[in-house]
Amino acid sequence: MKKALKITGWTLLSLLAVVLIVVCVAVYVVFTPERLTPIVRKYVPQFVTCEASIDEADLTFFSTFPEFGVRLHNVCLKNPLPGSPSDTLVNIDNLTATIDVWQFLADDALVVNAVMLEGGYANIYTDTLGRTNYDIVVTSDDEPDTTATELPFDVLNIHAVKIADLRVRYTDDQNRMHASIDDVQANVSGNYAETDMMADVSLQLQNVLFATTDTTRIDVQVPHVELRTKAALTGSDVQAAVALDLQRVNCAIAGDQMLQQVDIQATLPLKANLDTMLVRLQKAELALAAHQLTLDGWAQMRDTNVVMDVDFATDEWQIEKVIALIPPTYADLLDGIDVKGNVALSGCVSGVYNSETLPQITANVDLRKAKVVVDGVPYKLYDVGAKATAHLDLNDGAVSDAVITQLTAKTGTCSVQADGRVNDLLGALRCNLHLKADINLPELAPIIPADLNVALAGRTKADVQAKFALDDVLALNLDKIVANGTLNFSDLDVVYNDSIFVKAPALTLQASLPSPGKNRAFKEMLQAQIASPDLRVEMLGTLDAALTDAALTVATSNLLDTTQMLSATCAFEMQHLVAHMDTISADVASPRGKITLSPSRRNAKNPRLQCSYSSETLAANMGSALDVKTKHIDISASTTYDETQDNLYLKWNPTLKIDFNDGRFRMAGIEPEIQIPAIKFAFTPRKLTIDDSRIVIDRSDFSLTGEARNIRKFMKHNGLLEGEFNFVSEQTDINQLLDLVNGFGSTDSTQTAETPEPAGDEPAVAQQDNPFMVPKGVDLTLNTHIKNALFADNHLQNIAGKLTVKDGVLVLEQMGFTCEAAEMQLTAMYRSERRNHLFAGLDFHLINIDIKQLIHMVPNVDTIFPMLKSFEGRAQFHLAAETYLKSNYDLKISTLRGAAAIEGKDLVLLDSETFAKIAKPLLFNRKTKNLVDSISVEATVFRDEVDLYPFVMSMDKYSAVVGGRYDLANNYNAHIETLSPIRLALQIKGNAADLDNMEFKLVKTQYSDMYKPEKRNALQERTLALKKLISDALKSNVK
Amino acid sequence: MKKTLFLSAICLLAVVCLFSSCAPDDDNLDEALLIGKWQSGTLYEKYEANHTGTTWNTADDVTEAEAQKFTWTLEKNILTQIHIMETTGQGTVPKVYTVITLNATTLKYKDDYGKQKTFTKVQ
Repeated sequence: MKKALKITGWTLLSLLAVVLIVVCVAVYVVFTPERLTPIVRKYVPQFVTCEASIDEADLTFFSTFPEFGVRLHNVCLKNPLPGSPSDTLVNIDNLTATIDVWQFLADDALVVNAVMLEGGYANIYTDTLGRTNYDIVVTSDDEPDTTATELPFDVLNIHAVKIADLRVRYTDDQNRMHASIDDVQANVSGNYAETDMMADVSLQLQNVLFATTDTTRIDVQVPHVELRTKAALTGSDVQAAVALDLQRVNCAIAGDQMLQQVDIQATLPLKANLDTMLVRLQKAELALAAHQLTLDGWAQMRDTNVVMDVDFATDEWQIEKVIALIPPTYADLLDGIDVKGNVALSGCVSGVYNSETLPQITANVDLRKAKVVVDGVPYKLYDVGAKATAHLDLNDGAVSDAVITQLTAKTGTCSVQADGRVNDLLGALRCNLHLKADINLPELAPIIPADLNVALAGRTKADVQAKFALDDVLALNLDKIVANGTLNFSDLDVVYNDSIFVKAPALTLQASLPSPGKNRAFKEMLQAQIASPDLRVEMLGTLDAALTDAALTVATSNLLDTTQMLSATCAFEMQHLVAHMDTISADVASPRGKITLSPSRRNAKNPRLQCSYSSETLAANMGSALDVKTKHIDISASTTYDETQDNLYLKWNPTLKIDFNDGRFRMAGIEPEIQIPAIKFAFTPRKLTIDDSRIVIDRSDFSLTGEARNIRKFMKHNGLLEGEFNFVSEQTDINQLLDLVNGFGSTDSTQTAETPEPAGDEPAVAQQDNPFMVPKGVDLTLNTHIKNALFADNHLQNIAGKLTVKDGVLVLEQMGFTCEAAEMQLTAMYRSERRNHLFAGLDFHLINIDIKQLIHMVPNVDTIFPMLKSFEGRAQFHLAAETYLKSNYDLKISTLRGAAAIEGKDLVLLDSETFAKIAKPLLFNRKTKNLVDSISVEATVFRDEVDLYPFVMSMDKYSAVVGGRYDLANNYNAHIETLSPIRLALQIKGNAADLDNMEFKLVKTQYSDMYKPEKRNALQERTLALKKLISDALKSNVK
Repeated sequence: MKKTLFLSAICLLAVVCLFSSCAPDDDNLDEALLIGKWQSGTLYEKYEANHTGTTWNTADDVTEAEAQKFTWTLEKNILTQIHIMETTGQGTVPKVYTVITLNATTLKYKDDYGKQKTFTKVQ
C-alpha cells in the first residue's frame, strides 16, 4: 500500500513536472511577449475607437495560477477632448485577463474568467456639450462593415475582477461635477451559471472627493470607503448582503460644513426578484456617527413607480451627540439651548415613489429623560419625555399629521404633561392638544413682569384642551381657536402691588374659547368661570370682602376685534358676602347678579350696560349717611349711552326695576327710619310704574302706586312730567313727608334785580333759608286717602282728595277731611317761583267748627280776626287767603289778600276787659258769658288792613251792628252801633294792646237805615253788595 | 218894573247858582287819565284800559311781572278795586276809594277811613 502510494505520488509529481515544463515552454517559448503583443495590438482597434497603446502583452501562469492569463503592460487609451484635464482616458500599468485553460484545450474555446487591473489611472470626462471621452467602444454603427467581428476570445465568463492602486478622476462639465478617487482597491469574485450567479464584492476607496457646482455647490470628501457585498442570483431571485463603511466623511453644501469627520456605515441584507423588481430589506442597518438606523421592508419597481413599505428604527440616540452633528451653519439655531437625553425614532416609509409622488412616512419619536436648558428661560426642564408619532405625506395637497401620545416635563417642583394631535404638520399646523400641569405658583415669579409687582403663593393643577392652527395663534385669530382649560388653585395667596390681596384655600378657574354661553346681547368669544368656597379680597385701605361659595362667570367678545366695541358680561353668585369699603359695609346673603356691557341695538358704536341683582338678605351702611336692610331683593337696571345728547339722563337712558320686601333705611338728615315692607316698581327712560310700594316712615305708613310718564320729554325740557299716583295711608305725618321731598328739581335765583338792598337794620334774605321748592316741569297728581293725618299739630281723619304738583305749583284740591273740631274742605296752593318769593293760598271751609279749634288749626287767624278769641261755640268758617312769603316763610304783607265769612248761632261772647269798655257806653248788661243768637260776618284782608264789614249781632235784648277796620298791629277804628232797644253808636279807636288809652266815644249812628231797604243810601247799598260778593265768592267752592 | 226885573234877575242868578252847585263837574273824572303805571314810594299800581290792573311793592321783593291782579271801576270819583285771589279764582277782596285828585301826573285817593295815598304817574 505504501509502495502504491509512493508510486502514485511519484507519478503525479512527474505529471506536474511535465505540465510545468509544458507551461514554461508555452509561457517563455511559445507565447513570448514578442509574439503575443502584436496579436493583442491587432485586436484592440476592434474594441475601441480611440487611440490605444499597449507596451507589451505576455502570458502568465504562476501569477494567475492555476489559470493562464494575458497580461498587458501599460495599456493606454487616449481620447482627447477639449477641456479634458488630460487626453488620456485610462492608463493601466498592468491589465491581466485569465483564461480557462481546460476549455481552451478541450473545447478550443478561449474563455476569460478573471480580470485584474493594477496601477494606473482613469480620466473620465464629459464636456459642456455632453460629449464624453469614454465613448470609445466600437458599436455596430461604428462598423458598418458586415464582416463578422472576431473576438480574441470566445466567451467572457468573468468570475473575478481585481482592481488595485487605480486612481480615478471624473469630470462632468455639463453637470458641473468633479470626482476623484486616489486609490481604488476592488475585488470582485463570483460565478454564474446560466440562471444562477454568486458574487462577492470588496471595494476600498481612498480619499474620495466629489464636488458639484450645479445650482448649489456640494463638496464631499471621504478619506476611506469600504464596500463589501455578497450577492447570489438564483433564477430571478437575488439575495445580497451589502456592508458599506464611509469613514470620516466631510460634506459641505454651499460652503456650509454639513458633515465633518462623520463615520457612516450601512449593512444592507436584502432580497430581490428581478422579474418582479422587488427588493426586500431585512433589518438593514445604517449608522451615522454611531447613530444606528435599522431598515426593514420592501420596495418594488412597477413601471416608473417605486412602491415601498419600509420600517425603520433607531437605537437610543443621545441628543447631545445628535446635536453635535448639526452643521455649524445651523448650530446657532440652538444657541443658548442645551438639550441632553435620549431619543429613539421608529416608523415606516410606505407608498409610491416617482417623479411626482413621494411615499408616506410614519415616524415615532420616543424622547426619554431629557434635560432642556434654554438661556433666558428661567426654568430648567428635566425628566422631559415625549412619545409622538408623525404621519408625513410630502405630496402636493396631502396632509401630514402628528400624534403626541405623551409629553412630560418637570421643572423645580412643577410638572407638565401633554398629549394631542397636530394635523397638517407641514402646513397650517392645526393642533389639538391636551395639557396638564401641576404648578407651584411661586415658581412663576421669574416670568411675571417685575413692574406688575405680583407675588403668588399656592399651587394650581391645570387641565387645558386646545384646538387651533398655529397661524391663527400667531395672528391671534381668537375666533378660530378652541380652548378649554381648568385651573384648580389650592392655598392661593396673591399680593398685587402690595395693596391688593386675594386669598382662597381653594379656587377653580375655568376658561373656554369660544364661550359656550348663549348671550342675546352679544356673541360671546371668551368665557371664564371662577369658583371658590372661601374667597377673601382686600384692597389696602379701601375694600375688604369675604365671599363664601362664590361663583363668577366672565365672558367677553373678541378682545382683539378693533372694528367693534368690546362687550363683556360678568355674572356672580355666592352664598354670602361680607364687604367693607371705606365707610361702606355690606353683609349680603345669596347675592347673585349679572353685569353686561354690549353695543346698543340702535347704534352699535354706543355702549349698553345691563345689570341685575338679587339677594335674600342685605344689610349695608355708608357710615352714618345710610343704613339699609332688606330681605329678598330683585334689581335690574340698564343704561344705553347716546352721545348725541347733552343731558346726563338722556345720555345714559337708565332703566331700573326693583322688587324687594322688608326693607329698612336710615339716611343722614332724615331722622325716622324708612321701612319698606314691599316695593315693586319699574323705571324706564319714559315711564315710572309703581306697582306696589308700602312704606312706613316713623308715624307714617302709606302705600304708593301709580305711574309717571313723559320722563324723557321732561328731561328734554319739551314736556311736563306727567303722573298719577295713589297715596293710601292709615296714618301719615304730612310734615315729615314734605321734609322728605323738599326742594326736588328746583333751580332758583334768590332775589330779583329789583330787590332793593336792605337798608339799616333790615335783615337781608337769609341765604341759608331752605324753603320748600315745588318741582317744576311736572304734572303729578296724588290721589290721597288717609285715614289719619298729622299736619301742623292737627289730627285729621279721612283725608281724601287730590294733591297735584304742576309745573312748580302744588295744589291741594278740594281735600275733604274731618277732625275732632269740624268737617273740613281745603283747597290749598303753594308755588315756589323763587326761593324768596313763595306763594301760599288756601280756600278753607270749616263746617261746624269749634272756634277754639279754629284758632288752633289756622295759624294767625286770631291775629287777623282778634274778635274770634272773644267767642265760644261752633260756627261755619269760610276763609280764602293768599300771600307771598319770604324764604323764611315771613309774610310779604304787601301781597296779603284774604276774605273770611263766619256764620254762627248760639255763640257765647266772653266777658272781657274790652267788652266791659264797650258795654258800658252802650248800656249792655255784662255777664260772664253772653249768649249771641247769631252772627254773619264778612271781612277782608288787604295788605295789613282788615276791613270788618258791618254785621248784626243779637245778644240778649240787644241788637247791634259792628263794623270797622284794624290792622295787623292792632290799631282799631271800629264802629258799634245798637239798633235796639236804644240807638247808640260807639267809635273805638286806638291800639288794642294799650286798652287803657283806647278811645271809646259815642258818635252819630251810621247804620240806622242799612237794614231798611227802602231807606238805604248808596254807601249802605254798596256795603251790603260787597258783603254778598265776599260771601258768595267764599261759599261757591264748598262741595 | 225895574224892581221886578231886578228881582227876577236875582232869582234867575240864584237858580243858576243853585243848580251849578248841586251838580259839580269835578265828580265825573276822566278814567282815561287813570290808565298807566302809578308809583307811591315802593308801591305801584297799574291800570289797564280794559279795567284790569295790577299792584306790587318792590319793598317786598316783588317785581311787576309778579304783581297781583285786580279789576277796577271808576264811577264819578269812586274808584273800586276788586282784588282777585288765585286760590278762589275770583275777585274776593273789594277796596273802595274816593278819588281826590286825578290828572296826568297825580292820583290821590282816600278810603272810607280817611286813609290817603298819593301816586305819581311813571308811565
